[in-house]
Amino acid sequence: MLSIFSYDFMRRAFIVAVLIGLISPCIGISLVLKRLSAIGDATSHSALAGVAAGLMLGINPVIGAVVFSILAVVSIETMRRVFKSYSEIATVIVMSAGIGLTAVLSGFISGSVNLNSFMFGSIVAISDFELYLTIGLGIAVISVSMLLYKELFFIAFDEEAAALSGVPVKPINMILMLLTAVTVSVSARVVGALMISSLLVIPVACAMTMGKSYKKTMTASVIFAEAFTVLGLVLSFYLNLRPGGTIVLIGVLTLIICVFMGKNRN
Amino acid sequence: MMRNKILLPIMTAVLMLFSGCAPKTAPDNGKIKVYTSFYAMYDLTRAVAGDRAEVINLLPAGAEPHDYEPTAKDAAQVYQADVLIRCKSGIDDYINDIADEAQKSGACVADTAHGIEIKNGDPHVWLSPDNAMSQLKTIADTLCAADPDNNDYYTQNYNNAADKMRALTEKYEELKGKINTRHLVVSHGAFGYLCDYLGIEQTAVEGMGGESDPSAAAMAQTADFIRSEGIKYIFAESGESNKVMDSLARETGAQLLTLSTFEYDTQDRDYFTVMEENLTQLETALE
Repeated sequence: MLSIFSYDFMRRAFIVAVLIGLISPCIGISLVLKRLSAIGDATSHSALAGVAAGLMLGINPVIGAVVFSILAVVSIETMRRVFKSYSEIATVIVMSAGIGLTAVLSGFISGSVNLNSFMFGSIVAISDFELYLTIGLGIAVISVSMLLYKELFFIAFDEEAAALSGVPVKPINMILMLLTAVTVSVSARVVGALMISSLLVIPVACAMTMGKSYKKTMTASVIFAEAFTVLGLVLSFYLNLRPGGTIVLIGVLTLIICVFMGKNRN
Repeated sequence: MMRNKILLPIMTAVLMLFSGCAPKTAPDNGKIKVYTSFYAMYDLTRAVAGDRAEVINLLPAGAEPHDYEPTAKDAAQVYQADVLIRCKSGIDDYINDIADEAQKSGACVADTAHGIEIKNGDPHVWLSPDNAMSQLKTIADTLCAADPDNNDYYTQNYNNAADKMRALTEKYEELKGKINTRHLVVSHGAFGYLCDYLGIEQTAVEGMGGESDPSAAAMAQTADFIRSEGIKYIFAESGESNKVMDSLARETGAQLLTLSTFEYDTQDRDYFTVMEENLTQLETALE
């Protein structure tokens, strides 16, 4: 085997790893604080139903995935208002609907297709298009996070107080949810659903064990996410491990260490 | 899954009570009902059955036999089967419970993988022409036994199909003599029997199943292998969006071709057509 950077696919993988490491905690922190940690799973399963619908109707499956993800997050956002303070009910219902719909729709596809191959990508197999897509996504997510930094921060801690002090809560929540939908469906295609849904949450969870301010938690989440993705890729290369699973497990292991160290500190 | 195993027999039993359990010896149109477990078996069976038997594929057009989940209707249908043709190589395990039930209700269940040695746990036995020939024979024998009145007709059809199979085999034999590249790089290891038949080596990036997240090391090793052996063509399976093989093609400059596993077919083509198409692709890659 040659050196790690002599392969084109590895160079692409590292670029995407750094971008995903930046994007996911930016969105993830708001989701975690809103009790919507399971939204990544719920959305990616709905996206798979979108792939099935796209193939059934003869349109591009990735467009189907994006449309269904948007439908999923809009449903979650709407239901979240019905079941106040039980946001997780909304995510679980949407996830069940997504899985059920995928199972039923896949029975109608008149073609020989492997559904999963359209939805669940791998970080070591990135096409030109996916690379540009990820760069575009990165720019969108980071600009929105910076522009709406104060509003997102306020809403994440207390929606009602934010509304009272004149923050346009509903539109900002919708922007965040739409960004989540696009991030999850695009990233699932690029790096895999497992990786994106866990990177939305685990780095933030690690950072939260340190109990610092919102800004410091955000910075720490990004550092954690970058460490997981880059280290995961390196280990996948030298130890022959599957990258998605490796990245997730490094995250979980780090979280255990963080929790343990946090306990000791107290 | 566990719940399915319990529910299916119960549901089928209930459905049977209500369907009145028509006697199998008196079918409406005088034809026996033959069910098959997936497309390859369906196609070989219809070649023998012609228009004297009703051949029904249990698997819907787009479904992969690997991970198919049978519906209650599937299970209920099989109770009306006179014959069930399957391939017990590990490809159609979804039918295990249904097949037991069918047998109990008097259907003749034939395993076309009988007499074929399963190698390395690879279920795709029908992809080598010599195995397919043996499967065709099993199917013909089964139909003749289940429907003795049409014995001559089935035998005639079998002979025609066997002739075609021999013609196909000859073409593969011709390819054997012209092979220059001894390696077939594929996405999943589904072509072991075909490679054994041709006397070449299969290199799969991923395992037998449909995983799509290979390790970075596996990607690098395969890329190195393609470069060092000077391999110019690599293969994805038709009917999937294969990012991994696309990536390897870009990495090494090799060209991407497709091979069909004939587990399903969109265009309702027969075994000979698809295997000829595979042959053309293989000729490009190996000669």
